[in-house]
Amino acid sequence: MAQSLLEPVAAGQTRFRLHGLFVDARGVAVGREILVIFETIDRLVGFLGAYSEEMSLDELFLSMTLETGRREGGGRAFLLRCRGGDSYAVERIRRLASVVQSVTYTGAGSIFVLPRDRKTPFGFDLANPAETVGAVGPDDVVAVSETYATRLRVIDRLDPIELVQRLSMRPQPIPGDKIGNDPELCGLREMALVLVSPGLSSRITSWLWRRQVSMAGIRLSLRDGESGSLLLRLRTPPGRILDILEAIPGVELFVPVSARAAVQVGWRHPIHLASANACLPGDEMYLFRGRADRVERIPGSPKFVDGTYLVEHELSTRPPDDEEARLLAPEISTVSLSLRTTTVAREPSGVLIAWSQASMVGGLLYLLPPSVLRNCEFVALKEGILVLSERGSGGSIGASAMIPLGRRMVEAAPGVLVPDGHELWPRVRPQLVRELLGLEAEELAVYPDEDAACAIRIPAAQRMPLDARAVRASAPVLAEVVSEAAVSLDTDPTITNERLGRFALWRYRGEG
Amino acid sequence: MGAPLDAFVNDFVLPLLGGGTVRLKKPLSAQDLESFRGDIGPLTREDVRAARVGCGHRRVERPLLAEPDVLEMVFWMGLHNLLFFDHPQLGQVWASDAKWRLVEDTTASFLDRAQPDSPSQVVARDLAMEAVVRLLRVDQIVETRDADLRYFGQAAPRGIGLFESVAFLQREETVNWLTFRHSSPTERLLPRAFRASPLTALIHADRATGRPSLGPVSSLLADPSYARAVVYAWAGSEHWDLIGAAVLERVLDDLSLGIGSERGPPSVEPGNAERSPPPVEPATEELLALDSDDSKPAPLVAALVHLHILKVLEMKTRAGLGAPSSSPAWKLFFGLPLLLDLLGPLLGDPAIQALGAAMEGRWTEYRSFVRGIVSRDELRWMRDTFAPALTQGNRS
Repeated sequence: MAQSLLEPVAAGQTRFRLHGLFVDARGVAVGREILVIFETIDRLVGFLGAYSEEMSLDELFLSMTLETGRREGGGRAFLLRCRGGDSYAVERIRRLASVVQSVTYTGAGSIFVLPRDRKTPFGFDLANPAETVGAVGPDDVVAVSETYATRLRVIDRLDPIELVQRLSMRPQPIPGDKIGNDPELCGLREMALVLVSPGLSSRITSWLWRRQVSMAGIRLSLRDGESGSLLLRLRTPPGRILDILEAIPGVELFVPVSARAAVQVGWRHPIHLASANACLPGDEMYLFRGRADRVERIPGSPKFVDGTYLVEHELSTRPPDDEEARLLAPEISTVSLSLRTTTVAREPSGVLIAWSQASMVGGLLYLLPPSVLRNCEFVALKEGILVLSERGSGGSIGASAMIPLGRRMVEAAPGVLVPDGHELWPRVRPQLVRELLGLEAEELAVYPDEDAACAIRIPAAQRMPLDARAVRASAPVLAEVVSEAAVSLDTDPTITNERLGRFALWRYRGEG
Repeated sequence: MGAPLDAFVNDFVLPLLGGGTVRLKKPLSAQDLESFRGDIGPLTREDVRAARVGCGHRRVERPLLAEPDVLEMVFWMGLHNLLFFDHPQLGQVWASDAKWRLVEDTTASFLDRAQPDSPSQVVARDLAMEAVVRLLRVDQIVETRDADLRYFGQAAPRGIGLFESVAFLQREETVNWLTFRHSSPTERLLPRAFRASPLTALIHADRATGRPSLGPVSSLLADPSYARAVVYAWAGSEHWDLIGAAVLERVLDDLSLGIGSERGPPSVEPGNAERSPPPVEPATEELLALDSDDSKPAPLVAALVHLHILKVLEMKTRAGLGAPSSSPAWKLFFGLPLLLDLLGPLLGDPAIQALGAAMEGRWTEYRSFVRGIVSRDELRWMRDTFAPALTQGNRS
């Protein structure tokens, strides 16, 4: 009978031949590390899947390394090493590893021994000094069981995160063949994510809108150069709607399995992703597509836009009312703001040019120096063209003083322009003027002339740089590529079945 | 007879090559062929020539393109009738069953006559058949309470919205003509069309039906540009592994090592591995037998090995469980990288070392991964039977 390489640890034993073994709180001899040897990568994946169902993979990944090892006698194996700590952790990993027919060891450094079993409740130690195992190199791992020692040489290291992301999805039948037949709607009862191909997005959103499904969406470009697919988020979707969506080619349903991962309905990832946030680094969102066998990474956390804005609306044919577009200054209960003449001289902040002189605005570009032109803005009003400029400072002259056109406008309050030679009456605090006019932060108000009953509000979006507006856009002519083909080769041919007459085969004859 | 031929080229050939709309009216008969024979003038027109060259450039930079001949015209006519058989209103035509059989026989005759016998003709057939593979059709779908009404390549009738049974949805769906379901005559004729275009059948081996001869196409693959084009087309498919398996199955058949045959690979799973080779129609059995004499399958196997290297370069080789197919050919396809030491002198050195140490490491890792897919018996069979047969087949 061959001599046993291991000997059982006795109760109360504290000194061991294998360095790194110690006694945990239960008196069991364990090492600092746990080693699991998998014969195939399938078993490794099976182990990770089973572990993720029970525990968080994030904790395991903190101390785990995955390596490929070559056996001394030939053949390869996959080595999983992680922190040991106590006999409870060892037993949990041993139980899961035995499910996939793999062996667990405990130890430290390069030499590992079998953990405790039913016959040896306090674990194992080496029967002989560690030197008898043989010389152990820095890349060697020796796993000692009772009758033999397995020596493996580490030849490569695997990235566990990359491994998890490269795993193929497995098909999982939908209960009852229809999502609606499943009481939990295949996990979509609370929320469903729907990936819609670009060509279908407007129809799908309109259809969902008509069915009053609560939705929000975001446009994604899944591949370079491809127009945006639509990712929809449906809240408490009805099963009937989900069944219809599932059957439409180009539409894919996803079950959110964690805050940053969703898996296509009808497919299952080998790893329980909810317990594996560390597998999904960064702040990207991951869509695991089973049918396409792809993993889509959405940069950043997706900011969904409410479904109201996704549906295409028809434009109203009613002509816009100019008066409606202007916000009237709110009236004060007793007196209202009005203009009156003044002799106080102010630096002009803008010029209001009548439409009759609009053709001359382009010439301003030649007149104004670049530093001034850079700060000029342009607003088209019913009353004329308003050119806004910064006031001159430090002795310099502002653009409005240099423009020899139109009527000069001065600031009666911050962002409130009145004709030169006028002021607002009564003289309330400048900041209060803005509040009385109901102006937002970036908005301006203009009194076009001294008889104006109310100010015109100008949102920031309506102002544009003068040079950008006054210089005519020059659209480059599309390069004429000299092609030999008379027709475009970029498009795929299409077949159209024309109406067929009843006598289509009239006089159809064979050979001879 | 110039005008009808001109109309045929303008309405069918040119849109199919150039990406326009193909409109089908009525099937072409042998009489039409008689009237066209000898007159292929419209096919040599400048615009058609430019479209052919443009299509040829889809594959390679310098297409090896034959000048149009009568057989190419016959193939175009066969394709026209093939598409016609999918017309949704065939049932409304007043014609006897015998007349329909005549149309089908005529179409089959067109397609069978167009077999290529040189690499340049293979390329010419590929232009036409690839256009059919890419052909799209816009279907109108009206969802009613009772059923979905699909109008194949036609607009839905205008008044359909007035009926009460129409419930809620009318939409368009663009489908690929080839992958959608077909009528029975089209299903019967498609294998003949693919047999006449072996390069297309090789590139779309997962979709192509029929068993084209590999003779002309394997000599075409000796041209590196076409070999590269074929492998890149395979690599671009999601089902590259199934394509590889299908091509390898054809190679095994050519080497008389077909799955399930006496000298074929060992069956690992007795329940599943017994699979007879797909049936070959008697009409072309003789033709295949003749062509297989010229077949040298080594370029095809080299292309399959190159496909593995490409996928490793792309890092698209998914590790993990759940193999999509357990067919013997699929597993043998993954065994090919393990035969490089044996087949190197025959297939050439893929020069993995030249791609850098990282790639070499990935290739080693990949080979160890595929070692887990192929069983020991299968690997031994590949070394002892397949590799010698391939070497022998290439010498003969």
